[in-house]
Order: sequence, then structure tokens, then C-alpha cells
Amino acid sequence: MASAGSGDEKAAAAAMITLISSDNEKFEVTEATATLSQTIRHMIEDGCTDGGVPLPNVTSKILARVIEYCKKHATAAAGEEGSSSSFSDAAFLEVDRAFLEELEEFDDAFLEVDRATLFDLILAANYLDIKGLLNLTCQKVADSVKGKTPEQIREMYNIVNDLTPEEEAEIRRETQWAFE
Amino acid sequence: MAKRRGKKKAGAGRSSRKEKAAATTAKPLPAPIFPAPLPNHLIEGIFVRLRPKTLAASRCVSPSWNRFISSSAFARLYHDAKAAAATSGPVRFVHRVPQGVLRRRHAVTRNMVLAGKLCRGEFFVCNPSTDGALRLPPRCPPWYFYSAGLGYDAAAGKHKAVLLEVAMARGMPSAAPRSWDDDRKIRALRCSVFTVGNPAWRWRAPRGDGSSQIVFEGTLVSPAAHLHVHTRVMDPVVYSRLRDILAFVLGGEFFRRIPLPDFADGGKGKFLLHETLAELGGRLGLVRDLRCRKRAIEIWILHDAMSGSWSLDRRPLDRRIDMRAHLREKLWAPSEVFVLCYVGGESAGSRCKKILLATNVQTVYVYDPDTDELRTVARSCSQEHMRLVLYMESLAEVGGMEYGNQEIDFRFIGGE
Repeated sequence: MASAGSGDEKAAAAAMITLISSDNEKFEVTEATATLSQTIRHMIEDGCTDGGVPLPNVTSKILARVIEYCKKHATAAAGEEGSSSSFSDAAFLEVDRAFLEELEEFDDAFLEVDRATLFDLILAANYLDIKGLLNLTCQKVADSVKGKTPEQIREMYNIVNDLTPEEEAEIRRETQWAFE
Repeated sequence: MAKRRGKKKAGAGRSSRKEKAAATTAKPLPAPIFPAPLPNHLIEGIFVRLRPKTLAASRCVSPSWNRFISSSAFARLYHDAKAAAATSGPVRFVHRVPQGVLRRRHAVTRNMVLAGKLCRGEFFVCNPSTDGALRLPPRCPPWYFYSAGLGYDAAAGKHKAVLLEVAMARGMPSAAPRSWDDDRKIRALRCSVFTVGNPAWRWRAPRGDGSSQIVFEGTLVSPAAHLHVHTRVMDPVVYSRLRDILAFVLGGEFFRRIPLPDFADGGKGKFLLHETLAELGGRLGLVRDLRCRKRAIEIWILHDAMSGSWSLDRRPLDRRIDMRAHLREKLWAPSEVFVLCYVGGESAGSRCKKILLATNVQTVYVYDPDTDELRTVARSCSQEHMRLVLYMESLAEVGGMEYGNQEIDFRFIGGE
């Protein structure tokens, strides 16, 4: 890249966006990566990304993770576009499938975070308006509740049970079918 | 999603009692607390992803969880989210409800389902995702039964079960007729309505129409605001020709006539056509089985019930299924092919929706008009008659519902 002409360098630089986290750390990302966020896409469209995009709601720790997600999924989106024109080609389909599997593995590994980070990721995905990431993280929280007893849920989320025994008995009576 | 919640502050001059009353009725409930400061719409977004059973069990977590999950605001939110997922997403699940001896009664319903041994006069309104079943007042003797349907009256906010029975002029028949198909007489049917969730546990005459005797043949197609039936005139030359479509307006509880589309063949022909009604993309669809004539299945969509404007082929939602070689193999042999519903694709966009088809040999296919591909999604190996229910998760609950009723059996038979 460094040996390329200055024109090329300029083109590459133009496609880069600087994101600034709440703790003032700067992240250089490609436009394709950044525009997975609808919020940033709108900023780019409005031409207000010169000098970097300040993201006062996102810490550097979380922003780094979000960028990691966007990078991976930006290449996935590019891959999909490339392959859709030749969808009849079996070889392409094969590549596609392998790529989707890889993406799924990535997502699974990506979600291996502690609960506080997961909630921070949800907030960041919401603020940056990244649909895929919001879906992924919200589903993860929903899955964490799935099949758990009320006791387990309380323990997991440090929820104080202030239902009186009578109230709890009443609810249990109404929802008995759900405990069978 | 976030805009839905407009919080009103209670007026300063109001008494505390009034405030309390307002808080329990009008104001949207605060979302349950997670140990992270998530905005309400995100918490709601997480809760709508949960299964009904998990939600019910989670009511015991804390008072705030209990209030939130059992609130009508959340029930509405949940229903909307699942309904959107059911129409835009892939086919979810298909269940079957044993139907007794009823023939040809494939129906697609969401949310709440009318089930039971209908021909024995036993009716249940069920929510397959919670297994809840409300027993309706029994009907007898059995041979009165003709057809039944369940629809949602949005204005009243209630489901209504509508029952059609053969009206017997001179008392009860001494024995069940051999077969209705042998009987060439036009049958007069009597209509009864049951409002689900009303304290009065009884079938009653429809409110809207004094003359509750109607003449038709067909199956009630739900749900939306109307239940539809088609009427046939028994013609000695052409055995049975579609004559009319009647819509039962759930709000006013009366029947309204819907004119037929202008068929290119004038609705006449040498062969008897098998015509069925289906709810397709929220509209009434008339499915003409032209396999024997034009090697196609035609789908007409009613665009305006008042003027009776139908269309075919012009809009993205209307279409024909042409029997090309690969389709013919699967769709030619069964004597009956039913169009169940549209699935997938964008709701009103240009993208074609896929079509869910069932045959009377107990197989369900998804047909994709874009790729002309036919894929099997469910098959019943048993010889039992089945009724297909497109499964949608729902919290719908009615007072008096029983759980764990062995008589009604929803079985998962496939999905995508």
C-alpha cells in the first residue's frame, strides 16, 4: 500500500472514518465497516464525519468489540453481493455456505462475554443502530432466560424477590401449566 | 418502538386514589428491571423473544416481571411481533389437530384455533403454544354440524366462533344422512355465534341478521374481520358450480354477498372445478383448481369486499401456479390441492411471496414462484385426517381455559 501512488493513497484515506470513543480513543475503520451502523451512515451522508465521529455513549472497550463485529459482517455483506449475481453456480453456493457457517461461529464466539459487557453491547448497538448486532445480543439475553426457573433467573440477574409467598403461590396457581 | 410509550404525569391536583387508579389502568407499565439500565423498548425487545411458557414461568421472578408480562400492553406487543414474524419470516411450524371424520378441512389459523371433534359437537378454542383449551358448549345431535370457524372481531377485541349447522325443518332426523354429497338438495344452514371470553357461556343467534337461515356450501375461512363461505348452486348439468361468496361480518354478525371475479371462461366448463377459499396475505383468496383444464392453479385476490373487485396476475400477490413437469409429478396425482397461505417475502413489496400448499395426501409444500421450486415442508405418515395449523407463539388466554387436556393434541409435524 505504501508504495502505491499518492492518488491511491488518497482514495484509501477518503474511505476511512475515524471513530472516537467516550474515553477519547480513536479508531480508524473503513467506510464499509462503519456504515453497518445506520447512525454513522447518516452522518456520512450528511457529510459531518470530518475530524472523526465522536461517540460519547460508547467506551473504547465496547467500541473495539463493535468494530470487530462490523468488520466481520461488512466482509460478509460484500461476499453476499458478489455471490448473488451467480447464485446458480454450485461452487459459489458452496463458498457461501462455508462463509455463513464461519460467520455463525464468529457470532457464537463473539457473544462469549460477561453479562455487563453484553448489556453494554446492546446499548451500543442500539445507539449506533446496528440491526444485526442488536438482534444477536438481545437474542443472547433472551436465550439466557429460556428454560430457567424463576429462582435461577433471580440469581442470574441479582433480582430481589419481593413477592410475598401468597402472591407467588397465586401466580404459580395461574401459571401451573408452564411448570409442568 | 420507543415512540409508543408516551408517559403522562399525573396532574398535581388529583387525589392519590385517582392517581393509583390511573396507574393501574391507563399508564403503560414500567418494564421489568434487569440489573442494567436498558431503555424500555430494548427490554421489551428481549421479552418478545421468549416463548409463552418461559414468559408464564417468569412471572414468578418478581412483582415487576409479573406486572409487565401479564399486562395487556405487553400481550399486544407480543402478538404484533409474532404476527409480523409469521408473515415475513419462513414457515414456522405446522401442527395438526385430529379432526374426527371431517373431510377436506384444511385451514390455516394463527394465534387461536378452533379444534376438537367438531362433528361430535365438541368444540374447543385453543392456544397451541400454551396448550390452553376453552371448552365451548357442546352441540348435539352430531349430524347437525356443517362447518365452523373462528375469527377475531377487532372492534370488540374478542374472538368469535361461528358455527353452521344443517337446519332441520321437521324436528330432528331419525338417522344421520348417508353422505351430504349424495344429497343434491340445497341445504339450509343455521348460524350460531359464540363470543370467546364472554361470561355468558352459550351459543346464540347472530345479532345482525333476522333471517339466520342461509343456503350455501363451504368452509368458514378465518380470521381477519370476516369469515367467508362460498355458495354453490346445484346444477344438474354442471354438478356444482360456484355461485357466490358470502362473508360473515364478525362485527355486525351478518352475511354479505361478494360478487365473483370475471373468470375468463365465464365460470363455466365441462369439468367440475374445485374452488376453495383461503386467507392470503390478509385478503380473501379464491383458489381455482384448473389442473385438469389448463394445467394450472389460479389464485384470485379480493381487493375490496364492498365493490367486489378481484384481480389475477396483475399484482405481485396474485398468481398462477403452472404445472410444469417437475411440479406435475407432485401436484398432479393428489385429487385436491389446497393453498394454505402466503409466507415469507416482504409484506407489500415487489418480492413475490412463497405459497404454502397442502394436498389431500397429507403433504405440505412451499412453492416459490421466483424460482419455480417446490419443497416439501411437512408430511403426515399417519392415515388420520389432519388439520394444519400454522403455528404462531401467542400469549392469548381466556378465562376458563383448561391446560393439559388430552382430547386435543397438537403435534409438531414439520417446519422450516
